[in-house]
Amino acid sequence: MEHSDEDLYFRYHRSGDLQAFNQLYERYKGALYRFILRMIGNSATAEEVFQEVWASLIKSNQYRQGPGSFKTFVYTIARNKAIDHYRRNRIQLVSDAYVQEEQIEESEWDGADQAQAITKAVEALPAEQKEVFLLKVEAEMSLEEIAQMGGESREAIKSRYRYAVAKIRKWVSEENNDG
Amino acid sequence: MVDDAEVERRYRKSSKESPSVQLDRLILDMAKHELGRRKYRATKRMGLFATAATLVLSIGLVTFMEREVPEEVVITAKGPAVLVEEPAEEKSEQSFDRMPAPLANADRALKKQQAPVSAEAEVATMDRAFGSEALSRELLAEAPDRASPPQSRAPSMARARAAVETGISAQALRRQLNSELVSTHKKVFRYNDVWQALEYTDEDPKNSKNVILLYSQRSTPKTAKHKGEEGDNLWNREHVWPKSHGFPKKNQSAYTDLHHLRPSDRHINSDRRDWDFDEGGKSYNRCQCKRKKVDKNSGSFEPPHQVKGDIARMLFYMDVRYEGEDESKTPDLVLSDRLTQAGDVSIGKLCVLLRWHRNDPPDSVEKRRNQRIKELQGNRNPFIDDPNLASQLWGRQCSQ
Repeated sequence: MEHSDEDLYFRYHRSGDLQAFNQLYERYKGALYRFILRMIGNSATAEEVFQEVWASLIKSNQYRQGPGSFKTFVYTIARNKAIDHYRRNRIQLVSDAYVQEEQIEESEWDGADQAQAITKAVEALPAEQKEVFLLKVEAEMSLEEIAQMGGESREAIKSRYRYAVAKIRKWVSEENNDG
Repeated sequence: MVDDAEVERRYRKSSKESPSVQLDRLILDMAKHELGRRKYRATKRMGLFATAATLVLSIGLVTFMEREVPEEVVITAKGPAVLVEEPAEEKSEQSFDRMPAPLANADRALKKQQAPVSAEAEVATMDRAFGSEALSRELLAEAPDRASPPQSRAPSMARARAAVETGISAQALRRQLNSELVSTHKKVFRYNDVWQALEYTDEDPKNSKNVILLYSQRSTPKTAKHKGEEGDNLWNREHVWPKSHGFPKKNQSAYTDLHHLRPSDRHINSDRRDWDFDEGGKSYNRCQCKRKKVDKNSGSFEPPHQVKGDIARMLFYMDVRYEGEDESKTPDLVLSDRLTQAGDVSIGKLCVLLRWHRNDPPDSVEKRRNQRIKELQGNRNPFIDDPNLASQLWGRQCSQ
């Protein structure tokens, strides 16, 4: 039988089971890393934040079983660390999508292959839409779970998701037309 | 036409990055190291007293042997000292380097005594040096400051180690406090319910129809809320840790955490803005306060003397309660010793606050408030219950 994430986390913290930690890490690392990478936009910083998230999971046994899942817990930490990072370094949260769109069209969109283009498109989304899109697609969370995470309504989250997808779609079709 | 599912599929197909192998290794190492550290600490805790007692007795033994005391006196201290395997003199050199501060004190005390020491005197010396309070204080906080080297060859290494040990202890203490504060924080208020909570926590002890306002210390009717109506003598809810410094949204727990929310005169609340706490500036006539504008985005505010300690302790609580690791939707709040501005996840100035805290210890009203918040919210402000904690956490940062 496969252990739940919660189970693995408790095994590590309560019984010192390193193997359980390895499993948990394997389950989370890819999606969590990409979530942070897209939120922050550069890999050196993303690695730093990724490491901070794991350091806090390793050091403190803070998770309590409650209404939110373990996954929600992990991504909440990741999101907070990413926001801290923005703030500490006084990098403005990407909020003006138009500026971003322009930059992409000039530099990276043209001639870039589609795989790169679509990840760039996601990175260029306004932070709130990007977060929802990534939580849904990378972390595979439901809109309800995402809503619960930020204490917001499902409708608000759904509408952000709709905007995100519409924007990406627009960029992707433009790319197709250009091609 | 590309539909939603197709957008997701294409994104998944292109999104392939993963952490580097080195990063994987680093994190697994961190996990392994943490387990090792915990095991070590558990063993260390168990063995601390035994080891310490053995060390003191061996030092006692060494002192006696150096002075060629009669053998029967040595025998009284010999039991545990059998553990010493190395030649006595060599042990004496080494024990200085290894000695934690209380041991150094005990050793110094022993060395001072010229006459041979009786067993009772020795036990008394140990008790003095090893009262559990003395031990924990020395280890936790000010060890390097108080433990001046016993001799000139004395141990700069020991000082360095003690400093490292102090840093680690402060970290450990912070973690312990945080985990206690998080797990006992049972109720997160809705912002609208904070009004009523404050009517209880900040009720005027002499008039149950009134609340006491923070900066002006004025007693004001509970009903005079700045809520929909206009007027000059109304009160509202002051965030002592400004909400623009880390938690601008109502669903973030810190936004409605009673420990740092206080009834305040509406005008003073707005004139304090989101500035740091510091000393100096122009007198401000609505309270015994001073204000100093630094530039467009920053400035400082000096509250009246009788609430300085209260303010410091509220902010200490916030720093330790919010570490960005639980489900409070609040980032890691950090006290700063510099001026800050909106958007920073910190507030200042730490060392001024520490001084205020020392000069204005908790009074009965503040203690009652802590108890009342515990009833409503579940957790207590530990800096009101034990004023020594603050210097254990920040004392070193502010000692220069």
